[in-house]
Order: sequence, then C-alpha cells, then structure tokens
Amino acid sequence: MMKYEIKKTFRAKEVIVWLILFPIIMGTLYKFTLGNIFSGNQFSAVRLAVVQNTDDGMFRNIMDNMEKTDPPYVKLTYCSSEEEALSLLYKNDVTGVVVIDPAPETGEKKEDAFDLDTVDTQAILDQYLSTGTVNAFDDQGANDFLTKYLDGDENGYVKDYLANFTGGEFFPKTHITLKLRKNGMDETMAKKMVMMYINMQNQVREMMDFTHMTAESGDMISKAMNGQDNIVEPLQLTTGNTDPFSSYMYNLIAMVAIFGSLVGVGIAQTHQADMSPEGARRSCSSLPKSISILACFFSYCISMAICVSICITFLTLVLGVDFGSRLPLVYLSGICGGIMGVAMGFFLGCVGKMSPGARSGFVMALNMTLCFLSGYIVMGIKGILEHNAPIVNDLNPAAIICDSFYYLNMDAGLERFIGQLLKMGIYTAIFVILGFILTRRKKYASL
Amino acid sequence: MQVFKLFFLIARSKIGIGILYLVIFLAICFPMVHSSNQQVDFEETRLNIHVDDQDQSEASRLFAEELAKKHGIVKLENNRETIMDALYYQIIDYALVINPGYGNNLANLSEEAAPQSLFATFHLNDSYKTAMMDLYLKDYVRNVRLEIAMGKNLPDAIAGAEAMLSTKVDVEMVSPPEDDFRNEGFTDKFATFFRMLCYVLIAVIPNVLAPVMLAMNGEDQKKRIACSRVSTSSYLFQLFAASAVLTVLIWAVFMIGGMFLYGGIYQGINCWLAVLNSFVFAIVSVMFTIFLCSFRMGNTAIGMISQIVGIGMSFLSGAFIPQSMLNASVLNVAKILPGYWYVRAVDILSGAQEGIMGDFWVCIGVQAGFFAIFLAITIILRSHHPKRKRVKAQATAKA
Repeated sequence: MMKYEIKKTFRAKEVIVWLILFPIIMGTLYKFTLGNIFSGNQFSAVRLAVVQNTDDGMFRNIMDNMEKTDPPYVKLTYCSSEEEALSLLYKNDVTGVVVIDPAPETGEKKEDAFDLDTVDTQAILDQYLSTGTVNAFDDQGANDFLTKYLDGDENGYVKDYLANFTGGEFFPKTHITLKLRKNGMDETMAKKMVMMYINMQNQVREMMDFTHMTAESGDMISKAMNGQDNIVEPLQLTTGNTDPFSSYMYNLIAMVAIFGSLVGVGIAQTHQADMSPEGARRSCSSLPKSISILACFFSYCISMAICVSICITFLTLVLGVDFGSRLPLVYLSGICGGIMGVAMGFFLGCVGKMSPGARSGFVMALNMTLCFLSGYIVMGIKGILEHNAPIVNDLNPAAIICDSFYYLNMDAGLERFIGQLLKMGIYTAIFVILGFILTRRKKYASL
Repeated sequence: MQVFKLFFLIARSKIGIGILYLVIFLAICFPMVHSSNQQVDFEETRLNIHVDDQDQSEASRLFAEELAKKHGIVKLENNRETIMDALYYQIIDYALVINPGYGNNLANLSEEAAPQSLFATFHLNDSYKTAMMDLYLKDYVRNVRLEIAMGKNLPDAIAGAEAMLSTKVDVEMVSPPEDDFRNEGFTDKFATFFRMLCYVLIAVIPNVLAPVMLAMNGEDQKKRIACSRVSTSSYLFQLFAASAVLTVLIWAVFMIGGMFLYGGIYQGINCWLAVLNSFVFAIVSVMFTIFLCSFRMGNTAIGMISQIVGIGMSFLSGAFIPQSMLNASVLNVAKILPGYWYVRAVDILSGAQEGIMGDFWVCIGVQAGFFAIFLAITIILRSHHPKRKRVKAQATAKA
C-alpha cells in the first residue's frame, strides 16, 4: 500500500510542480537576481562633486587623504561650475554636490593666538619646510606648539597642505553647502563627510584660539587628532555564512516542506467516505482505518523526504548555496520540516467540510501566508515580527524550519537547532493526533 | 443580463481568495507606508543600535545619551545569540559595547593607553551602516580628546565635543529642472504600495478571474447558454463587460485600500499617474489571464502558473528589491516582462529612478504593447484550437 501511495504521489502534477519544479525555478531565480545583491550593500566610497569658489586648499587636502584610505571613504570629482556638478548629480554619477563659498563677512574679529590675518603664513611654512622649526612668534610656547604639531607622525595631510600652500589666507573661512537629490544611506554618509570636514576646520580654528600653547600640548593635540585607529575593536559573532541571501534559500526549503501539506490533505480526503470515492471504498474495506492512515502518512513522508532532498541537493550542488559545514543536518531538518508539513495537511484536511478545490485553495493561501511571514518574499518581515510579535515567529511552522537552518549555520553548538527539531516533532505529533481524532468513528447515513 | 449575472454568481464563490490577498497585502504595506514623509528637508538615516555599557561611568553615560539623540537605541539581552539574531534579522544595525575603563582611557592620551580600544562592536557584514558608525565613533573620540589636550576637564571636554558634533550642515534638496511636474505627494516610501501591486495584481486577478472564466467555458454552462435565447454576440458582450467590471472592482478595492494607507484622497498629479499606471497593469494582468485560459488548463494549473509568474516577475522586475540594486544583466532580462515597465514607471514618479515625463509614458506604452501581444497570441491560439479544428473537420465531413 505504501509503494502504491508513493507512486500515486509522484504521478500528481501538483506535487511535481510545487515540490520539485517550483523550488528549482525559484532557487535559480533567487540566485540570478539576489546572488550578488547584498555585496552591493557593502560600503563603497561616497561619490561627491566639488565646486570650489574659494582658495581653501584644506578641503582638497583632507578629502584627498580620505580618498587614499583603504577602503576609500570618498571619491571626488572637481568641477569648474555648479551647473557641471549638478548635471553629474542628475545623472546619478555622484551622490551629492559640495559647494564651497567664501563665508559671509560677520564683522567680528577674534583674537587668535596666531592672529592668522596678520602673520605671514607663507614665511612660516617656508621656514618650517626648510629648517623643520617655527620661529615666527614672539611667544616661544607658540613656536614650539606649532613645530611639535607639524612634527606629529600622522599629520600627513597638514604637511601636504603646507607643501602645496600657494599663498593667500591660511585657513580661509568658508561656507559649505551640500546639495542632494534624495534621502538615503549614501546621502547620509555624504553629509557625515562634509560635517567631519567642517568639524576639523572648527577644531583647527579652536586650536588657533588656544592661548596656553606648549610643546607638550602640541604633542597631545597631534595625538588627539590622529590616534583613533584602535578605538573600535570588531568582535566576531559567528564563523557561519552571514550572507543575508541565505535567508531566501532557507525560506525556499521551508516553503517546499510546508507545501507538504498539499500532499497531506490527500490523507484525509482519501480516508473519509464523504470526501472522495476512494474514501468511500476504504471505509468499507476490512483494513482498519488507523493502519491505512498511518501507511498513507508514512508513504507521503517518504515522498516529501525525496522532494526536500532534491531541493537541498539542487541548491547545494547546482547553485552552490553555502549552508555551513553540517550539511547532513540540513537534510535532516528539511525532512523533519516536510514531515511536519504532511502532518499539517492531514490535520487541515480533516477540519470542517469543504469541496476538494476549496480546501486546496485554503491550504495554499495558508501556506503562502506562513511562508510570507517567515520572510519568503520580503526578508525584513521576520525581523519586524520578532521585534513586535515574537509569538508569531515562535508558532509559524515555516519560521521554525527557517530558524533551524539558520541556527545550524550560525551557531557553534546544536542546542537551538535541537530545540527547533523538537518543536517540529511536537507540531507533527499534535497534527497527527488531532487528525486521527477528527477522522475516527464517522458514520454516514447516505453518501 | 443573464450571462452577466451568472458571471458574478460564480465570481462570488471565488472572491474569498481576493479578499484574503487584499487583507494580507494591506497589512504588509501599512507599516511600510505609514511612516511616509514629505521629502522637503533632508532626513538623516538613523540606525538602530544596541548599546552595552560595561563601563557604567559618567563619560559612558554621557556618550550613550549623545548616541540616543542621533540614533534609535534598542534594548536587548546582552548575550551573543540574541545580538546575532537581531543583527541577522535587521532588528538592529549595529551592536556597540562600551569597554570597561572607557572613561579613564578616553581622557588618557599617553602612549600606554593608545593601543587600548574604547569600544567593541558586533556586526555580521561590513556595510554603509558600520562604516558610518565607525566614522562617528572616531570623530567623537577625536573631538573629546582634542578638548582634553587643550586643557579642559572630561565633562567639559565631552560637552565641547558634543557641541562640535552638533555642527549644522547646510543641506539643500535639488531636483532636475525637467522634474517640474513632480510634486511632493508621491514619496518613495508610499511608492512601495504601488511596487508591491505588481505581485498582487498578477497573483489575484488570474486566481479570481480564471476560475470564473473556466466555469463559464465549462460544457454545462455552454450548453445551457446555447439553448437559451441569448445570442452569441450578446453572450460575448456580457462576458467581456462582466470581466471588465470584476477587474475594475478588484483594482478599485486596492486603490481605495491604498488611500487608507495614504491617509486620504491622493494628492498631486504623480499619485494619479501611479493610479493610471496600476490600471494599465491590471488590464495587462486580465489579458494575461485570458491568455492562460486559452490553454484550457485547470484552476490549479492556472493558480500555479500565476504564482510562479507573479513571484518570478516581481523579483526580476524590482517590485520586492529596488531596480537600482539589481545588476544590469538581470534588468536586461526583466525588460521582456511587463512588470519591469510597471515598476520603472512607479520609480520615475517617485523619483527613485532617473526619468522625465516622456519616460513615464514610454513605460505605459510598453505595457500597452504587452497587452496587444497577449491579445494577438490569444486570438491566434483560440482560432487554431485543436478542438475547434476537429469540430470544423467533422462538420466538413458531414457536409
């Protein structure tokens, strides 16, 4: 009987399409469209067009250094006019346009320690570059401060700036405008870059206002300006495959497993006399209904195991999806999910009275909803539910199957994976028991 | 009106699936669209950050407060599994640990303190978000230390740094001159609703319309109608009218649902152009359904095909993932699908893609072209149907 049921399963077009062809088509499509998409989310240099209406060389110097970092933070295109820069923005060649204008005159005059407007900055620079010291000020502390600061190991951008300084105002006051087309991550990064530059400009000005300069404070300022390389220590959470693309593949296998319910519905339909002629024939046969149902259930489970295995094998061997190092457990999890799907179908097939077409439509809609909620179409949905209604993820059979793959891939241990397997087992047992209860002892006055 | 009535009698029994899709669809779209805003001013991207303060000093508290002003703070259990899950499912973008000794090390500019890290971070992949946070942390520490180097005490240095980091950047939102027709009523966030319609229309319309059409084409119905007083032309007219009314009803329900999400009647020409675009796509979906029905498949088969085509086309066309994120080869393939042109039109209207009014009408035109192609193929298929040929051959033989 089991052999007959297995043969019957694979003769059904729905099974071939939904459980074998559909995952192959969707897997290929996912790989084709989403395979490289998440690498595009990795940080790449923010593209900015710069229109410089002043002789402020500091911007170019600092940003040029940021362009040389690995990976570079910015990629600059210098334009001669705002129109040229805006045309690049409208063609999406750049994320934003930075316009540097002279700052409007405020009439205020601050007493700077170096009094930048009166000191001959060209002479200071020539002196520093030729002798390695600064002796331009009456105050020796100020001379030592500037020498020590310029000597700082990592003040490369300042030295570059000094080397390229061609006269004019040392740190001209500027007004920077950032022109953007839309909101977004790139645009926020562009704003951060400009903000960082304005901060650095302000810091330099603040330094110039600092009147208690000594050689020691010059050294400290140099360290403060440059010593942030080690402040953030990245920690590794997992050795598993962290590519978000995997989530779609977990969902695809979960969908195949849950679609086992389309097969499982057949158990109820072929064992209830009022649902199908086959059910009527079985009802009057001498074979006990429980044995017949169990035989049917196990044969469908075997069919599902074959379908899920085909799906996992295709994804792994043909599409090269990385499920981590514990592939046999991936098969185990998928097969358990498939069995749970069949059990769910058995239960749903016994609930209420519906025509076979309506029931299969209902099961299909339910399956699609469960798969959608586990992130089959929109990946972020599972996170939103986890944050706002975690109970949905805990109860959703598709999410349980997905999580089992996720835990297998990401966790070092197997505790959480085993937990998901237990959940699948409990669900299977509940569905089968309820199915048996709903199908037993039914008598029909007329068919 | 008998045929018309019969059509809706059958349709009534199949409408459940349509309502189910509508409810699910609106429920999904609501959180996505609800936060829709007018894009007049630049809005910085805020990250969701989990902060684990292991220092519990005044300095770390002030830093956490400053961070909370700029980003959303998400409280999670301090264990690696919870943090990993939250990162993977994008509940948080960044997990930050303020290391023990942060307060002391922040103010310490000595050589010995230099190699000690102030923060530890957890993230699964390098992204814009992690780069942005790293930049912010370095900027913050640099500012605090600079203030300290200039002789301030730690609380004053932190206050000074916070003031420095609050620097306002003059941001101006610009748009191309040819975008003058664009108004602010159709935001990119609200466009999500119309993008997702690409999947919903192609999934709902065949699932609702095809069973009705197949039932109408069934032998029993045909024979009953054939022996009634209804003429063939009247039958066809009523059938088309009923199909059109049903389609418009389905489409109108989605449009009204969209208004609930929008918060009232659509404002501005772009919203109405998006409505027009969706109507054209609904018509293409109807023609696709009629095309499928020409193959004389069963309900289940049509349901399967519409799901596969719906999901597949939506992925390829950028309904679920923005077209800007798809690579060129995928987009080239997608151009042979009506969904691509539908989504592109929505993107042009929302400003997510480069394009002017002319480009929008090109998209509408291409969709109309797909309608014409489906119509032409359907006519060819129906006129060469094997059953009809056989009947004709039998009639000729009899004659």
